[in-house]
Amino acid sequence: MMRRSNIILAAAIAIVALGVLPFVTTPYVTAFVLSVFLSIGLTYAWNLLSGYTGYLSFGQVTFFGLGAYATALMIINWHVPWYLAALISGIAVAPFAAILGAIMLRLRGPFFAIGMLGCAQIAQRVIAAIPATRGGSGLYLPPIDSIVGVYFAMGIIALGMLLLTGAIHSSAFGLRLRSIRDAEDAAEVLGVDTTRTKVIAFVIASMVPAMLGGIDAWYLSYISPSGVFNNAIDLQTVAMGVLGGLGTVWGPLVGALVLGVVGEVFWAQFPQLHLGLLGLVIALAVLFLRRGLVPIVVAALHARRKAYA
Amino acid sequence: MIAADTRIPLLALRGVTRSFGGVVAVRDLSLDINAGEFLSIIGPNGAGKSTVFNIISGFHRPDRGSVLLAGKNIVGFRPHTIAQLGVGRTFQIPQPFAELTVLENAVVAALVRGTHAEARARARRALEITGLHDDAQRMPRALTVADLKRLEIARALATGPKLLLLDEVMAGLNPVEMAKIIEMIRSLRSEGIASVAGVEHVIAAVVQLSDRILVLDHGQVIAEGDPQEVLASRAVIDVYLGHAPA
Repeated sequence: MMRRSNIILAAAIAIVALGVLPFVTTPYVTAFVLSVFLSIGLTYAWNLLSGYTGYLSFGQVTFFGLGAYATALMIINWHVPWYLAALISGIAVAPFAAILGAIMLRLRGPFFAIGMLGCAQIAQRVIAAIPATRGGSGLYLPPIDSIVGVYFAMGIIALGMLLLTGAIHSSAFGLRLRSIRDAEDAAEVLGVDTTRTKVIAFVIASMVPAMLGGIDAWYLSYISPSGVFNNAIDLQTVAMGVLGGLGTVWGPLVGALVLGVVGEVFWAQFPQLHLGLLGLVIALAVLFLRRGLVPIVVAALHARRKAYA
Repeated sequence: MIAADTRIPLLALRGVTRSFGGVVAVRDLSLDINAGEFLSIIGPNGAGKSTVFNIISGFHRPDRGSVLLAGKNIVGFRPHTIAQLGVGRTFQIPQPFAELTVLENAVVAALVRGTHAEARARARRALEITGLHDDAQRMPRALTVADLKRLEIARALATGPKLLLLDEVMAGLNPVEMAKIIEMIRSLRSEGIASVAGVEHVIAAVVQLSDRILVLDHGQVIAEGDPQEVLASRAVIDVYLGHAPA
């Protein structure tokens, strides 16, 4: 295992490197790293709900889409600065997420997963039906002249979610989340307010995608209902979360990095295979790597340390 | 926490009835438990013991009747609120938090009151009382059946209860393990914690701990009182051994 000081040093180098990256490299590389940041943020948010409580959601894209539309409408109609609009979108979905979560989290297992899938479908139709969104023809935003701001906004959210997950993991809140995942009835009878705990996780797992959806809308300069409520976004998030390791601090980072790089290679060569690849990764991970990459690597490092001790 | 008032019972069930579909699981049940008392509810499988536990701990709402905790009606309260009010419960089939350490299992329960630091201290003490202190950093899957039963008790204790509901804690244990748990339950009584134990098979082991026993059959109380007298009564023998030929 690496010593703590080595980890801090490595993290500092990585942060500095990522900080200067957009100024020293091509826009293509910056855009790629930005897309990995987006994946990392989405996967951490999803992991906080689905990895830690075991309530697998296939519909957090609901909030990604709502955030994208809220941000786009604020920018178009009121000329709100994009970062502020995205932040407001994230905060504004919280009460809605709390209500939806309180209803949906009564469902357990596959019913919750399917229910959330349905939510994304409903949200897409409802948003498309509102005149202000101009339905299927989508919304055009002012073109952006630099992606550096978006790069840093996504990077800060990704880093923030890593730190937040690390802080939560062994906290009282984190223990409660994990107790729900392992034995919800036992948790409730031992004094855990399971409903409240789950709803808080659900709200965090909704606010973050809403902000990221808002930033992404600004970044892409064009949004449509089928684009921002696309289930492929959720599929990718689930694949990254499962591959990295559910309910772990480093899992989302590892899963998003591995699949982000692999996806970029495949995406460039065989765009039509992208979704199939994600499906294959989920299937293989569930069959052979149920605990994800991170616990396996940690166990291997422990074994090695023991062998040399 | 519950005020220690000796004039009213710690827990009182009054006319509690609950049915599932057409089956009456518990019929017009009334019982009292005083602080520090040990009451055993015995009865064959399906007699309604687990339903009684589920009603007290808030998983089932009675169709009729009231559940008074230190005089306060707790019908309709959620289970975690009832835990906060001082009722700890074990499950018949252990339900450990599989991906948490033994200590963390107890900490989750202890977090019901006080700060995180206080909760950790209370959790450690619960592990000491239940003899799991050396297993604190192990995972539940590494524990024996007896240790998993102890972990159930440790978690319930970690909530800082005034009343413990012990659902079949002796089932599946060998005599040595049973003796250890009996000794442990004795030590709890000296701290003023009241217990209700649900018992199906290992009657002798639990009866020696009991101040009173109550016999349930088809959701109704058929005998109640001093352990030796109740177990010798005709009605109880009939329930367990079948009716004697007339």
